[in-house]
Amino acid sequence: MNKKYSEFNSLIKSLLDPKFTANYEHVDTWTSMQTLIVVSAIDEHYDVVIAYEELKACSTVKELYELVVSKVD
Amino acid sequence: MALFSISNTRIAGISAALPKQTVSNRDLKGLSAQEIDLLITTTGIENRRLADDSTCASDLCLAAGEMLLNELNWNKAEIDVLIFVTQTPDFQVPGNSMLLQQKLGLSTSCIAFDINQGCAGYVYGLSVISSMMSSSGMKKGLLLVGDTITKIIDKEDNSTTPIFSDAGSATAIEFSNEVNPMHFNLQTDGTKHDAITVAKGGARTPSKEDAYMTMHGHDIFAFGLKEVAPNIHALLDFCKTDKDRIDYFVFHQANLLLNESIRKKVGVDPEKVPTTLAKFGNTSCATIPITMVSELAKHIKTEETQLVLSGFGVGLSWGSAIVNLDGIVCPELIEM
Repeated sequence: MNKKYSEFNSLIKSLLDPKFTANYEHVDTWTSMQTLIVVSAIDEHYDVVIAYEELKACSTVKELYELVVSKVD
Repeated sequence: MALFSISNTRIAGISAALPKQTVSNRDLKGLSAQEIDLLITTTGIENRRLADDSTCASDLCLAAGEMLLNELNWNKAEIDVLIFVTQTPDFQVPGNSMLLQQKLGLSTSCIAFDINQGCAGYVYGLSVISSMMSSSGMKKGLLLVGDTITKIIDKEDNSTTPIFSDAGSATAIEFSNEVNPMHFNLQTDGTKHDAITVAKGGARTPSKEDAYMTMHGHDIFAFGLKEVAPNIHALLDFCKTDKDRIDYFVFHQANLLLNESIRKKVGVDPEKVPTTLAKFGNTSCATIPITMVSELAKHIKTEETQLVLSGFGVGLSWGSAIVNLDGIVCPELIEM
């Protein structure tokens, strides 16, 4: 589980330009475009579509990961 | 029933018209240079076309229609049906189809009506006109598809202004006993009707103050990821057609990131998926014909091609079609 979270965290970090968000691990700091990029990447890598309300209910990347895992399972 | 086939009709020609006035997303106000870069990279939209105050979708489609009928050398009196697909008619009433019946000089025996559809409008409209002609034996029909969405968006709204653009098109449909059928898969989900809406100015809320289009981009994005590729796969299965036999996939030009995701889900190479997002943006119901005319003209004029057309968005409505083109009339893009 830790390795898989680490991979997820690395994926998210790779997608988010630090010019726009000081701390990528805080979901509520993402711009609108960054949110779309993350939703697309999650769909591509995990075959899971995250709705906007679901993503906004997550405060951290960890919470987002747990949401993704729950949908995969 | 979502999946169906229509026989005995062929696309005889397609034409399209755009306003000359071009604006660049690089000139957007209220965004930093880096934000603009990210917007353009994500949406794929660099330039948009804006109709001036005196130009409506009816004018763009009139120009496209006149050009097409002239190149086809069709007798206007022989056109049996005209359908105008738009969300931006000239007037609340009557619809654009009646105006174009008059302006094109068509017979009073011509059936004419509007369809209120957006992003999926070309595919929906093609299915309706082809069905009517196939079942009735009507010989010639004209499908006009266009919008001037920029007239109903708030110029200060950076969720819509960088996206939308104006265009019109005309597609000539002909009855024929010697063609392959067209196939369609059309779907609807009205539970998310507020994902893209102009809530004011209709009968429900007559006030026209701030009657602008609003769009929940993320909802549309998630919907596109979830529904479009399965719709296309279902259509291919229905027709027992392998995706590798399709020459081109023409998607509604909504957003490059979304369209790329759909392309990968469908499992086709980029060379088979033309795009006009960078040049023209999202021209609503006209994106499919605009892309065909702009990017595929040299192929569809001279070669036999099999295309998947896929529209998705406002409604929510979505649908795809498989059409066979056998060397059609396709004049150059009109800019006016």
